[in-house]
Amino acid sequence: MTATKLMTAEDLWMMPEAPGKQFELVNGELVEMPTASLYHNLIVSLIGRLIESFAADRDLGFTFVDGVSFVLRRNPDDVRGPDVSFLVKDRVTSLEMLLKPWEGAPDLAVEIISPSDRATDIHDKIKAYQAAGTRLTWIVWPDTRSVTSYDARGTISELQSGDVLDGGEVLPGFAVNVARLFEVGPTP
Amino acid sequence: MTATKLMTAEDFWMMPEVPGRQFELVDGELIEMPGAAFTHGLIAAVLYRLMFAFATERGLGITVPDGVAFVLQHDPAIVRVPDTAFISIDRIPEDGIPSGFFPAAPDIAVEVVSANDRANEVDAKVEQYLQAGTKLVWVVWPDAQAVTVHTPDRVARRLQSHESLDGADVLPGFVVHVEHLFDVDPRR
Repeated sequence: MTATKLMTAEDLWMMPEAPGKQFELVNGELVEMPTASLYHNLIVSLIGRLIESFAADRDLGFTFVDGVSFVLRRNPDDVRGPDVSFLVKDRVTSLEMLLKPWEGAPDLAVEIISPSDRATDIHDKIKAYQAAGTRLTWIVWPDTRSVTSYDARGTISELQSGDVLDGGEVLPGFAVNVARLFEVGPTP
Repeated sequence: MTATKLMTAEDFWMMPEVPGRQFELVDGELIEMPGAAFTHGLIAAVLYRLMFAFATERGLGITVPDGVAFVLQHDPAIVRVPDTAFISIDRIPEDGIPSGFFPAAPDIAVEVVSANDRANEVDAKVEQYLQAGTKLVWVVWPDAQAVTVHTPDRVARRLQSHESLDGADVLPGFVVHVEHLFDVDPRR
């Protein structure tokens, strides 16, 4: 029997950068992320900005956009890079913690769906975040301009334009109309 | 400017059958469905059998297996073919069971997710059923052995293998253990 060599979070961290490419580890296996569209990227930065300005004003914690690594599980390693993520202040006790992949889950993970994303991969990803302790997961659907919000109690809310997306216990007081998240790009 | 000619539900109905291939109509455009995996068909059949037996015994309505088309919307036309579906007795047209497509949404639609299904596509499908009046959409995840229950209030629930799937007020009293849906190997 040939055993496939599984990668660790450290292997992934040491991997030379490949321009324009982004990887995650799923059960120790390297998975390349699809290249995102410009529109996708605009939504990512908008959501990042909305969270960041809300959280910074209130000193709630730290907001990350793309390209960061969270080690959701060890042995085999599960390392994910949400489009936008947030860590509450209390969990970040030193700068050193931010100089390497984060050991654990973000408090909030946001994923913007790309046309090539497979349903089962997204389903697994949500489960992986929740199992690792993510308290709030937002799945953003540009095609239908909607958001699915998963909280720690297992409530799944399917929100559409006109509905309010709230920050729950992670970002108390944060509220934005779902339609606002898609107000990016050229105005018609 | 060349306008793409959109198909209507009637055009779709008149289309000659293509052996081994299955289509749906989404906003007037023909979409080919991927061939289903063996287990996919078995899981849909387990659910069909249970729902059929339960509903028939109590005279609650009609349960249909894969291959039956429902017209969810006209102009542009949306015609979907769930893996299994249920129509309550009070929604069967007064002039009898339609000889063509069912002219409206089913009360319960079951979709078993295939490995190559796109996340977008599954999300859009669920939303189209709900908008057309489907009261329960059961999305079955074979790999994760889970079921997501979508309802018109847009609060979804994810059921793990040890939990029970119930028929709510559409199939009152219908209960099945989620793990039972995946128990398709007759040797066990």
